[in-house]
Amino acid sequence: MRSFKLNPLTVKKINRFKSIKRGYYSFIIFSLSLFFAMFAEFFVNSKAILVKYEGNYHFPTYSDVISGETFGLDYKYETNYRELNKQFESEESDNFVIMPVFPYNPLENDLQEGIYPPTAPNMDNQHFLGTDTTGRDILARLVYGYRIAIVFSLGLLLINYVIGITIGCLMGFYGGWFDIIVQRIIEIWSNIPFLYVVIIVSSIVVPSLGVLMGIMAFFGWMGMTWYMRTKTYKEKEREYVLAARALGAKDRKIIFSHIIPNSISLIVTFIPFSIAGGMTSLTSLDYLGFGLLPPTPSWGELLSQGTSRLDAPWIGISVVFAMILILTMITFIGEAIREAFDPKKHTTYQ
Amino acid sequence: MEIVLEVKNLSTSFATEAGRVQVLNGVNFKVPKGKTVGIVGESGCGKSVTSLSIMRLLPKPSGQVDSGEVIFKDRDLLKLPISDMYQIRGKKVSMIFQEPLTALNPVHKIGKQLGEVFELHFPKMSQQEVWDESVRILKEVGIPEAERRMSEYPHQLSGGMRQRVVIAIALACKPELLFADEPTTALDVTIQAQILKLMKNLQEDIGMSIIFITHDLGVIAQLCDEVVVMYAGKVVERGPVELIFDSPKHPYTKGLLASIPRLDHPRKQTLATIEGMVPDVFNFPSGCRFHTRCPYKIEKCTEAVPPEEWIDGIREVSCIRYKEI
Ligand SMILES: Nc1ncnc2c1ncn2[C@@H]1O[C@H](COP(=O)(O)OP(=O)(O)OP(=O)(O)O)[C@@H](O)[C@H]1O
Ligand SMILES: [Mg+2]
Repeated sequence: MRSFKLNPLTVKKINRFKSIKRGYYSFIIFSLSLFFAMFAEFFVNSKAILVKYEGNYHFPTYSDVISGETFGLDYKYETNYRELNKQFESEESDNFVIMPVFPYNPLENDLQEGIYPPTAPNMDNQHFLGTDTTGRDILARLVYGYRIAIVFSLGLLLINYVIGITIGCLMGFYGGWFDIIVQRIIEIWSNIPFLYVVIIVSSIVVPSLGVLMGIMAFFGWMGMTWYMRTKTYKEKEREYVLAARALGAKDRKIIFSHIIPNSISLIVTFIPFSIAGGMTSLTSLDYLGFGLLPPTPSWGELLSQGTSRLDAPWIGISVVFAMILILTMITFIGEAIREAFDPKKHTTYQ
Repeated sequence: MEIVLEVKNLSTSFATEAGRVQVLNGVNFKVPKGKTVGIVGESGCGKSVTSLSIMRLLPKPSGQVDSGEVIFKDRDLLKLPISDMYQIRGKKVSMIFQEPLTALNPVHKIGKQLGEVFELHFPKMSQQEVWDESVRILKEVGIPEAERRMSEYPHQLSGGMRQRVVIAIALACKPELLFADEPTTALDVTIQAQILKLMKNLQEDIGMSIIFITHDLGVIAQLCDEVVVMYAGKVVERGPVELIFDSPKHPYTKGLLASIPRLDHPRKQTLATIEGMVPDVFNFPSGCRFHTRCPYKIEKCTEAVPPEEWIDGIREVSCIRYKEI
């Protein structure tokens, strides 16, 4: 009986977004990249996806360590599936191993006798983008570093928006002294030197992802308050807010059912730029060495290797190229969302 | 006759950049149960501010009621704790605004906006009951295909439909008093007539009182039992509609009535207008505020504010010369 149609205006916005080709395609590619990053274990991993041994099937991807003895090898530590693969192939038996397309994980040092890392890209040993200064696969590090950066940005975005929207909304809604005092607090707050705090904090505690997110959010929530504050000031003067008041609606009701829903399009337009911002800041912190502890895969750390080892240009080129690609796509998406949500675009007069 | 609302000596002022302006200056009127009271007056005389003051919906902190009482069923609304006011708004006293489009939130479906009133005042009702009741009331205000309209958005409805939705929302809880602030000015004449008829019918069903704010004396004649004529933040004349229309006592009311075109008068005759402009809120004239435009002005009019005088115990006028003119 009750149909759940989208608001026709929302449908219009979505269609408009789809019609902006480069934004739309960037969105599709970016979503795919998120999907691959979330399930990276199946694509970039030193563990096999599937092993058939003596009639039994094994799925090592998400399982605990499977000892080499399980597959008739002479060691107890974790199976080296790349070796196992080669062995099974030469044996001509029923046993087989299906490896991910990129058969390395981001933490292992693939060291071979007589070869000193970094090694250049090489199709034969399947280091498609080469290895870094300690012999780790660059592609694996890029992919897992990307995943961490995305998780970081999304988490940061969530914290920043929840705090920023709440405070901005309250400022705009209650106005008066509350607004003035919080404004001054924010102005003082935003003058705390960010990098010093990071340096101090990371000298006291080990900078984990959560700690870094906390520090970044400590400085990042303020941006959204300004937009939300202005938007709330505008929204609360609307006649439907007065009408809701006349029906007996309380502050909370007005904020949640009138002001926030009408601010969604504003919030949505900021999301892509916040994600890009989050990724860039994590990368720069890592680059400067205040970020996540090694050996966590990270673009910033790769970038600093790249800049110090110009004789191994594949390191720098890979990470710079990946950054440009992702940031450009996000910018295209952001641009298209802004276009699509611009209310001036909805009506035309002739 | 039972009185639902009595406004006594209501004064309201606004803080503006140029200082405080006294917008209402001792407004008095009564609303009998089940009757319709019309408030007329030129633009800016304080009609909307009167209704907002009564509902305690003045923009804070600039707007403020300075003095007066608003007695609604033996309680002074101005002195109630705000939490009681939330209970009264929308349930006992409702309001319809001028612009039907802007009074509805563009992002919510009609069904949600209508259902919200029930959720506010009858939190125990189930989803299904809210839905059924909403559909019923939409049908009652004459919306065809009410079920389908429930899941549409305001912009998908015509102006007349939207105003019907707004009326449905205002009447959902069967209030005892309804403020209608120029509810039909934005609509064309046929729709206007339909809406007025609808309001009249619903009034009879529910037995509520209506305060009808308008510029249109024609609407007052059609719809109202009593009329309150306001000028520059004061009530200058009030009483039963027939009496006031037949024999207006205040020069301002006379002027207003003379300015409506009438078919039984010779066509070529030019319409009478009230000379001059509404006085500026920052410097109201001394004494009677209408004296700057009044054809019957004498020296005494500029000296003291004229008292409100009862005539025959049923109507009131504030003009010192009403007997002679
Ligand atoms: N928020 C406000 N701040 C300052 N002055 C205000 C405010 N709201 C209303 N006023 C003043 O109060 C006076 C009365 O306004 P009100 O809206 O009640 O007029 P009205 O009689 O309803 O006119 P209309 O018929 O045009 O709706 C006007 O002079 C207006 O300038
Ligand atoms: Mg008005």
